[in-house]
Amino acid sequence: MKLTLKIWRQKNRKEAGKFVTYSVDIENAEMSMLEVIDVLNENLIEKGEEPVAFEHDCREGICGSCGFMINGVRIGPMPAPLSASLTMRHFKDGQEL
Amino acid sequence: MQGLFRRLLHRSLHRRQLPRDNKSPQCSILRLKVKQAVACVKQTIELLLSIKGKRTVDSFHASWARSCGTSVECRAPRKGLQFAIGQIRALQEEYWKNVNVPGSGEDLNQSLEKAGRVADFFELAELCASTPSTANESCGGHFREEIRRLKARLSVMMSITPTSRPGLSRPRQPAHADQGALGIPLRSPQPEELQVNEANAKDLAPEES
Repeated sequence: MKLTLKIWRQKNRKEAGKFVTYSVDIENAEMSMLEVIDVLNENLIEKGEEPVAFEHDCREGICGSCGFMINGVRIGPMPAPLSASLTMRHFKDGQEL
Repeated sequence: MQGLFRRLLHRSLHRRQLPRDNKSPQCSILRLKVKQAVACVKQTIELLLSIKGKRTVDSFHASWARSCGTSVECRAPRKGLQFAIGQIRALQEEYWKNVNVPGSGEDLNQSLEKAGRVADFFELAELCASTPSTANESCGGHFREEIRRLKARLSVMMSITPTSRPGLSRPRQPAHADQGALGIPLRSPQPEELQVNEANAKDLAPEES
């Protein structure tokens, strides 16, 4: 399964931000959105680029830190509490987020 | 957790009774300590950013978890603990040579935050493994299998006394049923005995001149 992620990147508050497109190969459909970004960050570090910064703490949908926006919606395409419990089986192969 | 930390910090600061005057000797000592701590942190950050190795912080974190999860757990035999200590030290050595922390220390850098935490995890894991390996006991948060076995063997050995050899019968009760193992009476004295004791005490008492 492959997903295309358009992520807002901004180095610091002085510099202007922009959407950057990344492609991620997903081996397991049970991976959460946070794990997908972890995989993306591993790939970025291996390439020598800066990883994506994202807020997370408990990774279980309890603390509420990982409530970022996906497709303009805070909780993603399904009524999941947070992105920690948003698994990839709710997306289609080749979908763009 | 953060609320608890804040409360603890507030209490500890309150108990310390920090001086209000900035020119007091206590304040100058504190200022020196803070400067030392800041310099130490800056040095660590610079070192982490300058390594530019090949392995990511997450891969080191996963290796650390694997080596700790197999050996440093509740059921921890000494051999496993020593093996884990060796593994953790080797991993720590590799970490400070081959870790790759991208970005700089001036902007938000989550890889750097993680790198500092993982560096602490190595020290913590070594402490968690070395403490039960040096203690010859199985209690608290660590379950030492060999100590348990040794205790079981000792209890079996203590139960086998010379009187239990074949041909010798061990009395099931002490010679005097009302006396314990140390000869201390297990029952309360009878009133007659108390009277006799009082009479004896009168006889034994020194005569008044």
